[in-house]
Amino acid sequence: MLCGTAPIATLSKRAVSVDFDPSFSVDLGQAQWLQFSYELPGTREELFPPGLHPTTPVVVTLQLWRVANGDLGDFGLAQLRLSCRAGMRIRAFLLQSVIDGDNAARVLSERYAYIPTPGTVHIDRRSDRIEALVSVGGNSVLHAALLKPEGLEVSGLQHIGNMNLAISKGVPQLLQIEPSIATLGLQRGAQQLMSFDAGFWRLPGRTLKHSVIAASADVKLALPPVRYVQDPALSATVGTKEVGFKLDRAGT
Amino acid sequence: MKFGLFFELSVPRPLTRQNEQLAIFNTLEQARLADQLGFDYLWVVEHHFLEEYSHSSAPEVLLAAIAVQTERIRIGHGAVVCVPNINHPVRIAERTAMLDILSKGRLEVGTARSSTWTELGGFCGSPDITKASWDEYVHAIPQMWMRDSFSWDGVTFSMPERNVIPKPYQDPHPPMWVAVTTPGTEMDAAERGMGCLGVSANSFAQQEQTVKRYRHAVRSCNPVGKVINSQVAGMNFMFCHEDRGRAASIGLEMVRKFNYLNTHQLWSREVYPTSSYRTLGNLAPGKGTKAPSDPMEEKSVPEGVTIGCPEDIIRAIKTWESTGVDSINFILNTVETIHQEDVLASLRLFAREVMPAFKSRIKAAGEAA
Repeated sequence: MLCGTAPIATLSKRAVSVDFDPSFSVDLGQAQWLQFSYELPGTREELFPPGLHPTTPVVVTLQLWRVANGDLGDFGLAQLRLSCRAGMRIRAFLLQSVIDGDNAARVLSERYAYIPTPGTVHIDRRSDRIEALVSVGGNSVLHAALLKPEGLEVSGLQHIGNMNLAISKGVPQLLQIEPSIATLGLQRGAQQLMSFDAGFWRLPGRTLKHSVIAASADVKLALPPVRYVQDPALSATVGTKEVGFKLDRAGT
Repeated sequence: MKFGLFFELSVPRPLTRQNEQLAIFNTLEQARLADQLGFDYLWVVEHHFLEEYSHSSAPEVLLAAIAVQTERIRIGHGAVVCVPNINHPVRIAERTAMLDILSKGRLEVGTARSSTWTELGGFCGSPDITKASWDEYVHAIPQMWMRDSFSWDGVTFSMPERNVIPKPYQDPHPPMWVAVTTPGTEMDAAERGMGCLGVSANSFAQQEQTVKRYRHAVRSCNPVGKVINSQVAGMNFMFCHEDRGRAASIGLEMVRKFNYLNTHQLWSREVYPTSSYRTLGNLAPGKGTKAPSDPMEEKSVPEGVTIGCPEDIIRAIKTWESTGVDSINFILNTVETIHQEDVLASLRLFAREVMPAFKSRIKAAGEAA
C-alpha cells in the first residue's frame, strides 16, 4: 500500500519544538478563511513521512487565516498542506507556514507546531475577487485570487485537520491538529495564481498547474488541545498515542 | 434471500501488468464458479484511477466476457457512472443493450454519480452537476432502449432525433438500480422505481430504516422506465471456512485492507466545496467503520459481517434478511489478500452449507403458496 518515503531525519530538520500541555487550548475568534487548491503533479511519496499516506492525486491547499480579536489578538497565517491519510483519517500534512504577529507565532509554533516563518499575510476583498498576498522578507511568496465569488451553503465546506511535524523532548512526532471551525458564510470561485515561490513552500521545482477551486469563508476559529500524536515512522494504526496519558494505544 | 458477488478488481502493489491480469482472470474464474454454484447475481463496479482499490474502469468489457462464459447468473453493471465527462448516456444505452443481448437477458443496470475527486477531477468533471446528470440519464436511457426515435433537450446533455441501437434483449428493458452509499439516496431510488443497490457498510438498524423508507416510498413511485424494480440489495464481505478462527484471521485482513484503501480515495467534498455531496461518501471514516484513532483495536468479526464458519454466516444473513433486504452481494477479496484457491473453496462451502438454509425456505414458501 502507498505510504511516504521521506527520511524522518531530513524532515525533522525543519520541525519546530513543542511543549505539550494537555489542557491548553486557544480561542482565536472570528476570522477570514481563504483557500486555494491545486493538484500536485509528479511523484508524491517522497514528500511524506512513512507514517502518512498520500492521496491519489495529492492536492495542495494554500490556506490563509486573517484573525481578529481572539485570545492571540490580530494575526495572519498562511499555510501550505498536502492531502493525505493518517491511517483511515483524512488529513493534510503541513509543509510550510507564515505567521504575522509575534505572539501568535510563538503560541502556534510552541503548542501546535505551525512553522513560525515571519512575514505578512494579507487578504484583500474586492467587489469581483478576493486576493491573497503573502510576503517573506519583503519578497512575495504567494499572490493568488479567488475570482467572481459566488455564495454557497455553509454545509458545503469540509474542514480538514492538519498533521504537523514537531520535535517533542527530542523525538519527532506528528501532531494531530483539529481546529474547531464554525463556518458562518461561504463563497467559492475560480482561482488565479499570479505568483508562487515553490522553493519557499518546500516544493522546489514543482508547478501548480491543475486547478481545483478556491473558497473563502467567514469562520469562528479555535484550537483545542492536541489529543493525539503519531510516530512519523509508523503507520497511524500502530504509531498513534494519546497525549497526556502515556498510553500507547497499540500496546507497544 | 438471493446472493450475489460484488467485484471491485482490486490489485495489489506493485501495480505490475501481471498483478492486474491476475486479478482479472481470478475474477473470471470466480464468476464461472458462482454461476455453476447457483449464485443469483454478479456485479462489476465502474471506477477510474483508483489505484489498488479498483482497476475496474471498463466493466462492460469484463461483463461481456462473463456473459459469454456463464449461463444463468444475472450480470450487474454496478454501477455505471452517469456523468457526461465520463460516459455519454447514448453510449451507456448502447453498451448495456449489447450486454443484455450477449447475456440473453441477464443484465441488471446499476447507476451512480461518483464521489471522488480522483475520478471526477481526472475527467475534468464538476461535482456540482453529477446529481442532475444522473437524474437526466436515468430518465433518458430507458427511453433510448424503448423508442425507435429519441431526442433530448436537457440541462446536462442534449441530442437531436436518432434511433439508439441495438435494443435490449429484455422487453421492455433491463431492471435499473441506484448505488446507495449515503442515507437519503434510497429515496432517490424509490421515487424513480429503481432498485436500491447498497454499496456501503450499514448497521442492522440503519439497514432496517433504509429498507423501511424505501418500501414506503416505492409504492407511490414515478418510474423512470416501464419496469419498476423494487428490490433492496445489501453489500457485505464474505469468507466462509469450517474453522471459525481461520475464517476470521483471513477474512478480517481482507476487510481491513478494503476499508483502508477505500479511505485513501480523494473525496470530492474534501477539496471542492459543494452542496452536491453531503458526506464524504462510501466507507469514508466515520461511516460503518471503527474509531479511526483506534483502527487495530477490533480483532473479532464485527456483528453482521459474513465471515466465519457456515453457522456464523447463516446467523448473520438471517439477521440481514430480517431487516428486509432481498439480496446480499459479497466482496470476496481485496488486493488478492486471500489466495484464489481459498476464495473458490469459500464459495463452494457457502453454496454447500449456507445457501440451502435459504433456498429451501424459498422453495417451501413457493410450495405452500
